[in-house]
Amino acid sequence: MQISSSVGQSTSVTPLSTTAQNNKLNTDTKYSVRPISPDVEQQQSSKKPAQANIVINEQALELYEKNQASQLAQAQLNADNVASTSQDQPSAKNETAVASYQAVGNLAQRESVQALFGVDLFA
Amino acid sequence: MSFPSTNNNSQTSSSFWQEYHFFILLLAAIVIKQLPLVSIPFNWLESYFHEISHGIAALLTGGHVLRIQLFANGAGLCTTQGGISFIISFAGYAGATLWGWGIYKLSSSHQRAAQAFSVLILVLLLCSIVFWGRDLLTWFILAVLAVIFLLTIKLQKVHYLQRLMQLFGLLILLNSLSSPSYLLDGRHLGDGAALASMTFIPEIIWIIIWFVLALWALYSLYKTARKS
Repeated sequence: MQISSSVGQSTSVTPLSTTAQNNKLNTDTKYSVRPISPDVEQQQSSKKPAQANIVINEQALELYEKNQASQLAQAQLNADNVASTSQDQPSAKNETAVASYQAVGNLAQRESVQALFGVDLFA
Repeated sequence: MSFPSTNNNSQTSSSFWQEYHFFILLLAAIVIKQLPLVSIPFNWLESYFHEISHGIAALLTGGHVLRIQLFANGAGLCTTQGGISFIISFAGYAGATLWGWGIYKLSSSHQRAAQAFSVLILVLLLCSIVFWGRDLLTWFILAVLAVIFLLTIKLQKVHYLQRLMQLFGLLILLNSLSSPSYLLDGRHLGDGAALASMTFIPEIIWIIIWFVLALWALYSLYKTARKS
């Protein structure tokens, strides 16, 4: 009888009587599975999950490419803006003046915040 | 026509009052303190002088008074910012004692002094309503106290005002004598606990200091009364 294995190898098996077959099955159960070579095993294990898990979605790829393109465009735009603002940057003197002006403007607000915190309670 | 017996009686009662007026007022103050409803405004009075002492101490040491809260049960709260915490904490009970002593002493010295001092307290109460009271209950309590002082000023006979002010002084003093003992509750809350955390001197020592101070003020008033 000819039995084809999973890897395409063939093995010849001598046919046995039913009783003999039964005896064989009952006594030598652990040899019923045929061992395969390690190379074949590796090939099988690497093929099966690849076929089962990786699904290539064309739409998703397109979307990803589009996103990347838009991000690149945005980054370029930002770089341009930075360049233009650096041209309009006020002098250090002006910056100090504005900071002083804002500090005076914030005094009242700071006072009210200080009034909220840093108080003592006496009962 | 004269009535020697009537004159004798009035002289005797006058001398009795002269002799024992301090003890009579002290007894009246003790009785008032025990009365359930009548004692409430006088508890507020002591509480107010306690809190205002915290506030004045804060102002004198360079701080600000943000709020004074008074509660119906005689409790109070003074919210300050800046100033010297040690002095502000100590000033509560010590200040109430000083107020009680001062009210009695000044009103004993002269009838006009009693009148002027009650006007001063009325002004202080009105300032407290305007500047430091922030809630309805505090405004109500301060208004009640202001009305009490307004009525004393309006009294026709200044002599009665003098006696009433002396009674107020003694009531404040009695309260400041007993109220530090409320701090002995094991909770480490209040002025005694604050001073203990600042100075590492136990709370009980501060309570004893306040008690002795109030006792000394009472003895000083007794001596003044005996002299007069």
